Parts: sequence; structure tokens; C-alpha cells
Amino acid sequence: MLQGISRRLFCSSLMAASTAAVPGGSWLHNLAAAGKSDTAKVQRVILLWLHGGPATIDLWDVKTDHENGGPSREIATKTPGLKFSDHFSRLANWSENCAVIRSMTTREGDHGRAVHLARTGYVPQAGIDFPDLGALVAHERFVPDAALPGFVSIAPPQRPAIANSGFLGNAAAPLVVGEMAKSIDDLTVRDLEPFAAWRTDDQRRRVDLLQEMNQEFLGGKPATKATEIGSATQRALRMMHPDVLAAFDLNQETGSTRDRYGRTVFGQGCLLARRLAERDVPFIEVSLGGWDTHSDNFNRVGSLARQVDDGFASLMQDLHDRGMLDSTLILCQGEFGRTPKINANTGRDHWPRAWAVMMAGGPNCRGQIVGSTSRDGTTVETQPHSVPNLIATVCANLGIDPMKQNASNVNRPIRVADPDAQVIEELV
Amino acid sequence: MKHTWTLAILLLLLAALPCSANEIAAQIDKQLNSLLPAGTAAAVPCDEATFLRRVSLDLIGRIPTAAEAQAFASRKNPNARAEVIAELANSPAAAQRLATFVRSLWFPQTSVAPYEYLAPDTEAWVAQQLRRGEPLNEIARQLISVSYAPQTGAGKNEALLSVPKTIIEANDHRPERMAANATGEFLGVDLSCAQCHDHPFHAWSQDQFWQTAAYFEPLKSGETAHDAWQKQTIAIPDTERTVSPALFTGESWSPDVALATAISGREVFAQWVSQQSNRYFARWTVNQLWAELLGEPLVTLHPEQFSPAAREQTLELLSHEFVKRRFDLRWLASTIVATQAYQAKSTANSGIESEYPFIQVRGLTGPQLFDSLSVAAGRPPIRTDLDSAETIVRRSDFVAAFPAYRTVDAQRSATQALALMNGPIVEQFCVPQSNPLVQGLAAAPFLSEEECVTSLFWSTLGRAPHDEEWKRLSQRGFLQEDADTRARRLSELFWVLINTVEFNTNH
Repeated sequence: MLQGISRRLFCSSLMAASTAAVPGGSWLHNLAAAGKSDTAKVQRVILLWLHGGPATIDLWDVKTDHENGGPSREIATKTPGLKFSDHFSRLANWSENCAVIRSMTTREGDHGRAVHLARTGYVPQAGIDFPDLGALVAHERFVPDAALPGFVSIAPPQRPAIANSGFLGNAAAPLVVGEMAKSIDDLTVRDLEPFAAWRTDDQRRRVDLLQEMNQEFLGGKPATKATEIGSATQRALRMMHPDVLAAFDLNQETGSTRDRYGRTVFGQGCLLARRLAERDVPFIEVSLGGWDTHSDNFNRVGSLARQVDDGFASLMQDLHDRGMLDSTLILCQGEFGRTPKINANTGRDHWPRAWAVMMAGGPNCRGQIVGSTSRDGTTVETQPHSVPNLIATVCANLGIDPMKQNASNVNRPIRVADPDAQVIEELV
Repeated sequence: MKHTWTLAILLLLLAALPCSANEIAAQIDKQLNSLLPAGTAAAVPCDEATFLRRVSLDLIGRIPTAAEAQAFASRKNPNARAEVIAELANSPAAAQRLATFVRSLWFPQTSVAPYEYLAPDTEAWVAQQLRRGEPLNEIARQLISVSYAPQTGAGKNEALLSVPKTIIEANDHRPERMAANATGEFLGVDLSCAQCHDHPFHAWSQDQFWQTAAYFEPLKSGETAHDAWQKQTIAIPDTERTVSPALFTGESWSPDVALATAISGREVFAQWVSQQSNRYFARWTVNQLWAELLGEPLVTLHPEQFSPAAREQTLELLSHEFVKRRFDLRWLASTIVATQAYQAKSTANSGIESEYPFIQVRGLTGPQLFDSLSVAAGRPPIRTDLDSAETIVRRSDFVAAFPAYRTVDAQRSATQALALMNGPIVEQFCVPQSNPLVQGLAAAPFLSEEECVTSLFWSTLGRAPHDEEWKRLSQRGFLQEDADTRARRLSELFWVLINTVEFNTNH
């Protein structure tokens, strides 16, 4: 909580001062001037969040000629020189629209801290309530009268582990679909429909009276907590629209489409993400847990990766068919990688020092391999990249200035991405 | 003999106490009114109905019942506000509400996973202490110094709860986290930014942080020397340095030397926090309770910001009186709510440029919202000592969906708004079968539709409908004379009223 009476004054003067030091917009302007692509072409982001720290050494950076690779095998993709794990036989067809960053390196090896870093771009700092990337995007792409919120989180693990709007407040908060979903039937939004006994009747008289009473109560008053509560109610009322209910209704898809995505929570979550992308939700995430493979790594990674392959490849296919692939950026990542050395339980432990992220879609993913790791997979050898670099790159693709400052819950503004962030040149 | 003297001194002290809550409030009004624009004598007061609703939510954590609201509206006594403050502040419900404030102030981490399991016991214990009239500094001392050792039935009195080990468990038994908790949340001094390294522009150094943490290292078992805590050391991670306990203020302070046995550094630190002359504890408490009750702190805590002198003086005055009155938290709350600043109209600041601490519109905390829904539906507020487990679980499920425990933190997401409109717990409040108010009205054929609607308004909003609202109610068919559909109609109206911004804010 921000203390102090001169909160508004303080923030505005400080913001003005810092804007003068780093002129707003110039950062993106420089990118454009450097002949980079149309930065605002990407309209939305889909994050495939692999919770628990996926063994990226068995997914996107397989070490077949080193004992650390274990039994993992590679397959060729459509892109010469770019190979994926053999679990990704369907995704391999879409390699021309993929880019693998093999040189992610961080220092956080604890799940909580690493999740915070990976999702917000900042290491945890006492008292600062950092927002997730999803909330940052929703905040930038806020449409006041949109029926759907700007950030939808599908099948996340238990909050508050992830998915937080932080100091950006509730307008940027994720709509959660199927928190900790165990089965496909759990992929629903709670409380979207009136009480069963009232459902068949006309809702208008009570909704109209409510809106009139709120309008009168709020009328002519300055923005306060009351306004915030009033607008949350308005957003909720818009979400009760039949079109929104329809957006979440997977039964409107054919059986064969649903099969194609895989009849798993993650697969159907990806299908739901596609339906929401079609309805212009700017940030959608689908979570898949179970990647904390301290034991039995290879069997578990295999079964998880096949779920990813079905959902991810189907998503690529459908976005392509709808002409949306260039305007949709897909990120597939977790909070860190896993130890290249295989432990006594045929598992892999936490390894933040060298890991990989898969990025797909958008105008800039064209089969690139960014950076490289050592033969044994333990260290990054070329082009090391931090999480802030990744976040700055995503922002640049969306046309969001990563150096933009937001008022925070502490007495200073905080930039979208860490001030030291550098964009990944190949991907903007 | 000794006791007689103590008593005599106490009596003298009591006689010397200068003024009651209201007199202190009057002094505060005088100080703060200097911040109003020239030509304005005082902030415009809110009306009586708004005042009762506001002060009930703040002191006992729920809206007034229809009967309370109507009785207050008809009081003609000029002291009515002071009387109601005294009634509410002395009720057991006030101790519970203040306990929630204290728990979330001192242990904010217990409002969320994975420490939320500690919240009920911590609050129950604090509430019991407050009901027994324990001073707040003593409550703090006990919470910070609580022993690792298991407690045996809290001594002689079996009815007393044992001191919860929240400080230990909510900080994973780690000295550095306990130290950051005890300084940050009990004193409002944030040392934790210096945990990893010195910051050039921050007041505290890394050594100071770890010297504070050294107090929280447990004593070696079997230690008997009473100064053993002083020899306790802690290693600063990633450095070669080891430090001993030292106060970050630079004071060389030692505990009461009459102690016969070994005490831990944590007990020493707890004594220092709770002693009357600690210059942080009272100020921090007063400023935070002010923020809880008016929506913003009285004085900024940021070192680079300044507050007007009148606000500083008010904080000084309140802190001084709070210490003098043995850290009586109920007295403090009653005094703050007796000020003109608190009793002002929440829109009194519109169009005025002023440093006066105008009261802000606040959201309701999760517990306030649930308990107010209960009262509005004509149910008694839930009591953890009397109600069924099922009822208590329903309340905690609801609060988990509205996890705000301080009014300053209360936000509303669309998901929460949906829960309040369509959620199963709210459905239970709305449908006639489990809404005693609607059920009663529907079964009273001698009441007109207007009377029923008026009753619903008093129960939920603490007022009668105004002319414009009567017109709307009529247009929307809520005044239809049809006995068969009355229950349903009143249910729907109840739904409307509890979903209004008016119901969901403390304004």
C-alpha cells in the first residue's frame, strides 16, 4: 500500500521527471527507425505455462551426443538445422513459425521466486506487488466496454502461486477458468449464470434497477473506491452476456476438433484459448503442471510433452487457418530448466542457469534458434538472455514500450520490464 | 503497604488524565481545521444514517440492523453520536473487529496461503486479550516473545487461550524473516531492503538488518546465563561477517536486569518494542488505525515526503495519549471516530484543494461484507463460539473469495462481483427459504408492498427509499400488489440492494 497524503502529487511529479529522462515512446521509435518490423502487428499473446520447471533439455535443446541427454531423441523439423524432441512430431510441421531461445539464464532456483521472476520479469522484492505479464498486457490493451476481460487464465495452479494483477489493480486481474482443474468439466467460469431458480426468467428488471441505483449513487462524484466497485459490477454484468457464455462453451466445437486438441485439460484449454483469441482477448494463458520431475523424468516429460504437442500444434493450425497466426504470439515456458545431469532417481532437479523458451507465431518467429548451450547442457555459451529481455521482446512485438512506467504500490513508479532489459534482436 | 502506594499513584495518575476521548477529539479537530481552506470552519458532517452505518462497520464490523438504524434516526439527543460510539466500542464485537485489524497489520502474510491457517487462532487470541483489557504493547510483547516450547494450558486459567506462535510459524522459523516482520509490521520500519546489501540511499545498512536478525536466533538449549542473548551471533549470508544483536536505532538498551533466568534475544527485542518510550510502536499503530478508519494514513511514512505540521501534531497528540492510556486500542478507535474528519461527508472534499484528511470512501473487507449480508437478511451475525461448523465454514469460504482484511486493501474484481451476483453463498442469502427477513415479510399479509420495500431498504441500506427511487420501483414492477409473487419480488429486490455500490462501500 502506498503511504502518504501526497500520493497523487508525488507520483505525477516523479513520473514527469522520469519521463523527461527517458522520453516516452522514443524506445519503440528507435526500433522502428532501425528498420525492424511493424511492432504493433501482434494483437494478442497466448502463454502456455509449464508449471514446475520443464526439462527443456528434453524438449527444445536435446543433447543426443552427451550422456546428459539420457534417452531423449530429436526429430527434424521443416526448418533445416532446427530440431525438436521427438515428442513434438506435430509441432515440427510448424517450425517455420517457431523460434527457440536456447540461452535463457537466471539465478532463481526456488519455485516461488522463479515463478515470480518468470511471470513478472522481476525478482521478488519486499512490499512491491508486481503484476504478471498478462496483467501488464491487459492493462495496456484495456478496452473499457469489452465483454471479456483482457487477461484470462485457464486451469492455473492454486492462487496466489500465480496470476496476479499486482499494483495494476483489479481491472487487469485475470478471469480464472477452472482453477486447479482436474477434469475437462472443470473448465468453467464460476458464477457466470444467475441462480438456477431465476435463470429462465427475464433478468432485466433487477439488473436495470441495480444500474440505475449505482448511476445515481456514483453520479457526479470524483473517482473513488465506489467508482472501482461500480465498474467491477459493470464488467461482471457484461460478462453475463450470452455471447460470453458461448465463448466458454466447448460443446460448440465439433467432436473431431476437440479430439485434435487432445481430450486433456491442457488440450481443451488450448481450444478454449483459441476461442478467446477469436474474441480479441489480448492475453490468454493455459497452464500445465507436473513438470517438477525430480524422479522418473523421461516418462513424465514424455506424457506431458505429448499433451503440449497436441494442444500447441492444433492451436498453430487453427490460428493459421483463421489468418491469425501472424497477429498472435505464443510463448511456451516454465520458471526454469532442469539439471542436465540425471539424478539417481532418473530425475532432473532445478536448473535456472541454462534453459529454453519456445516462442511461436507473430511476424518475427521464422525458425530461428537464439543462443546456444554447452555440449553437456549446463551453461549458456552464446547470447545469454534474462527474463526481462524476454518480456521486453514480447512487449516490443505488441507495440508496448517496455520502458513505460506504471504507478506502483510503493513510492516509485515501476517500468513494464526491468530497466536493464534488452530486446532479443532476432525476434523483433 | 506497597500495594496501597501503587493504588494511590494510580489514582493520582487517573485524576491527572486531562481529557476524555471527546476532548482529545476536539483538540484534534482544532489542529486539523487549520488545514481547511480559508473561510471554511469545519468539514461538512455526514447525515445521521450514514454516520451510524459507517461507525458500525468500523467498530463492530457490520451494518446496523434495521431496528438499530431506525432507532438512531429518531434520536434527538445532541450526544447521540458520542453515545453510540461508546456503546459500540465497548461491545465484544469491537474486540473481534480490532483483532482482525491487529492480526492483518502485524501478520499480513497470514491473510494468504500458505499461512492463512494461522489467522483464526491469532485473531481469537488477540480478541481475547482485547476483551480482557490488555494493553496493545503487552499483546505485541507476548506475540513477539512467544516461546518455541509447547505451552501447558496457558497456566492457571484454563479459559485463557495460549499465545499463538504466529511470529515463528508465519516466518518459517527463520530469524531474518522474524526480524523483518517484527520491525516492518510492528514498528513500520522496513529494514528488509538492506537484507542482501547496503543501498546507497536507504537509511539502513546490511549490518543493521542482520544485527536485528541476531535477536531472533534461538538460544542454545540449556543456556542459563541471563545475558546469553548478547553473545548470540548470526552469520550474514554470502559474506565472511558475523554480527551480534544491536538495535538499529543505535540505542544501547538493555532489558530489565532483575531477570533470574536466561531470556532469548527475541524476548529482549519484544521488550524493547513494547516499552512506553519506543518511538515507533505507538505512532505506527495510530497512523495505521487512522488509515483503516479514514482510508488514508494521517502522516506519510515515506522519508522523502512531508506531511503538514497539523497532521504531524495530531499524530503526536494521539500517540502520546495512546501511550498514556496504557495502549488502549478501543480508546484509540473511539477517539478517531469522534473526530470531525471521520464524521465528515465522504464527498466533502470534492472541488476543494486542501491538506485536510478528508475521509475516503472505502470498500468492505471480506468479514464486513459477510457479516453485513447476514444482518441484512435478518440473520444474527455468526459467532465462532456458538454457530455450527457448517455455518462457520460458509463464512470462511465466502471470506476466502473476498480476501481483504483491511479496508485500505479492499478491492473488487469482476470475478468477485460475479460471486456476489450469482454465487451459491449469496443465493442462500437471497432466496426466501434462507432469508428470514424476506420470508417474514412475505408471510405478513397485513403489510403493504410499500411497507415491505421500506423494510428491505432499512435492513440493507439503513435508510428509507427516496422519492425518485419509489418511482423507479413502481416502474420496474417492484410494488405490484400480488401476494403470490411477493416473496420472489422481495428476493429480487434484496439481490439488487446488496449488489449496489451503496451497500458495498463504507461511504
